[in-house]
Amino acid sequence: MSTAEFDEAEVWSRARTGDSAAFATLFDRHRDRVFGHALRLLRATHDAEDVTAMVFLEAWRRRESVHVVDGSIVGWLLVTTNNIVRNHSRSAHRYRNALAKLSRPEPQPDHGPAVDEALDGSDRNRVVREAFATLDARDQDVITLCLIEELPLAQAAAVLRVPIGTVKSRLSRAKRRLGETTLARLEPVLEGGAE
Amino acid sequence: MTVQPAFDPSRSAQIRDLLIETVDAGATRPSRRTVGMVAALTGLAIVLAGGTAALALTGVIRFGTDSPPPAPPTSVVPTPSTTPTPAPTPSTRPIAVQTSPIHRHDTDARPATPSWSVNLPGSGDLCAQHHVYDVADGLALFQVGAKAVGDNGEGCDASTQEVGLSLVDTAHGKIIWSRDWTWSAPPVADVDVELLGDSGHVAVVDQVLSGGPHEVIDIRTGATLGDFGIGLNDTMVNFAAVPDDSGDVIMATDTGVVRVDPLDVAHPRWTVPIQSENFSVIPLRSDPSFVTVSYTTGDPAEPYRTGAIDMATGAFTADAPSTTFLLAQAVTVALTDYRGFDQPGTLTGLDDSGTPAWTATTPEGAGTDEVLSVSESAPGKEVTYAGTGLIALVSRDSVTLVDGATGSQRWQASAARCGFTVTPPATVPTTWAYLDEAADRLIVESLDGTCSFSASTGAPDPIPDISSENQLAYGPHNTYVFPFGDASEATAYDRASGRELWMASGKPGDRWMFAGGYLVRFAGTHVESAG
Repeated sequence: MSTAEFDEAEVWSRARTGDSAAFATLFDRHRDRVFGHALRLLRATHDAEDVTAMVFLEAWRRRESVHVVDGSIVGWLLVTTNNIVRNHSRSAHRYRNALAKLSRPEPQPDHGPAVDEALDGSDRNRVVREAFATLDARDQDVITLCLIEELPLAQAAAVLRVPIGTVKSRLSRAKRRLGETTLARLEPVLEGGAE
Repeated sequence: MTVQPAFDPSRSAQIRDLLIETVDAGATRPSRRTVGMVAALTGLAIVLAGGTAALALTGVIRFGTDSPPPAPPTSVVPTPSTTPTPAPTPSTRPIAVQTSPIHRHDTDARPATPSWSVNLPGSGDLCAQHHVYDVADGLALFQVGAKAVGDNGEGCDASTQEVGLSLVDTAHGKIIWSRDWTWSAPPVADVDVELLGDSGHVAVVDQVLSGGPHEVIDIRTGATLGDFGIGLNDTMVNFAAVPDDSGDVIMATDTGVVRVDPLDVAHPRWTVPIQSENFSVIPLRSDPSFVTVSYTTGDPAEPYRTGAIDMATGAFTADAPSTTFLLAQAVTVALTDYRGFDQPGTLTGLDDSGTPAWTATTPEGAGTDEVLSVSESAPGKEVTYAGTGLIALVSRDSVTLVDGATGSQRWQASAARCGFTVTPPATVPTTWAYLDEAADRLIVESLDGTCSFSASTGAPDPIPDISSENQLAYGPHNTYVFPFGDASEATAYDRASGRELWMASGKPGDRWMFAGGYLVRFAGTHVESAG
């Protein structure tokens, strides 16, 4: 993640102290990546939009514990996306006042199957998604950061605040649990991101 | 028709406005954690009791329409929010964390009925996490829960959280004590259990401070010794147990690293300020002479550096290069000059004081594995094999065995017959290496199966291969096989001959593992002997 042209750590430093414009800049920068990851997990566009909103609300609520890693908060945002997706209904309850301020989605044709098609490419990836859901929270996070988002191992370790060896062992364990065949099916899913 | 999923522009704009409004409304309030950590280090534990209520915003966002504004903490004593139910049972055997490796006992035959079985407290929900920690020969700590996969998951009660802890004599099948905590929280995160060296203290900490346990208990009785008084972090508690009998932890706080007894937070043994946006403590080997800290520099050219802190004095050496460490059981090796995220180019062995003792260059395309012992488990940790002091460098083409104490290469052998593959984005084969010392055999297990060598010469030492569709566990003489996707089945083989010794089946979700050196089946809240 390059920080040469955009000093995200500095922007976050301003955002966390109450600079709302800086906070909005970070939303602009990472919205699509968070949305894309939520969409992979949820398969529903508007739920993914709501999750995106909640991730950034969480970033503000928990601003003192957001980790800037390698000059970016994206790793923290992605792990938080996992947490919120796991706990979608609870998080929606927490932020229901905020979400109520948003307009409801325009009635649209049922794009669900087509969205699935666009994201999945085939039925096989439904199996992958379901397999992902069976992993425990720690393994989901390490798979998200290291395989799906392809963050460097050291960066993932810093995001999760665990030793790099722990990331490696969790990654190995998660790979084993998913199984080689299932992992191979992840590849089309990786191509379905929003960014 | 193909639809490209996209963020609705109007909703995006509304969310953006909402965020701005929220930040503007809440910007003047001090954050909980900023206050919290300062207070913690000055002995004011008041804010450490702050639960989720203290996290609520008083601006635009509240936690539900019916919720009153969050009340400030009113007591310097953390208010217990859990329901501990200790049930200690007197034990005749001395209970302590073993300081030497735990011998593994093979199960050569499986009787019609298990020789023992016990039922543990904790959630029986399918989403309950399971962990087992080795304590000593014939002693293991079993953790059932918390629940950490989706509140809408099948068979997962979303309204309550629960975690049970039980110390079990796995040689005879007796529960020595049990504890159970329940609280109201969504099943989002697990509870960390950490044996604090061989002090006999065990930290039990809710990962996200959702109202679950946050205390130190006594390994002998399960009784609460006190509140785990430090380390509050909304995302994850980052601490490392000091691997001695002090009961101390090394903890990364907002401003630095502190060594402290979590039962006596007012008196840290030392505090080291770290000038960095982010840093974390890296636990090291069993020798307590130093601990390393990884920290960010803000310099894109070198985003990370690694410092070393003398465990006894707190003296900080900050000029170490950006480094990761092979977190080995028996050796400490710094990994640098990465060719890929998983492919270190240089190994530097460190002595007990953290001083470089040797340097070696790794073969192109090789990953680095500590060689583990098939006959021993490491006490004081979630069940794992003990280290051997050897390092295996494994690429698609070769296996190189290195002495971790001296860095000397014992041998290098062709791996062409092994068929190791690399699954992107990995750049090296995913492997694990095991030493069967009695048989003078090095077993390299990969996602493609196993491949064996003479441990002393590197010559091929083929043993009956096991399909890559299986998860494996090793005992001194046997290999235990659990199929992926249906780990309920277990088959035991004599490793040398490949002869099947026994086979057993259970239910989906069952786990077979060594606990206290004995093979057990762990299913939901039920544990039974394999033999």
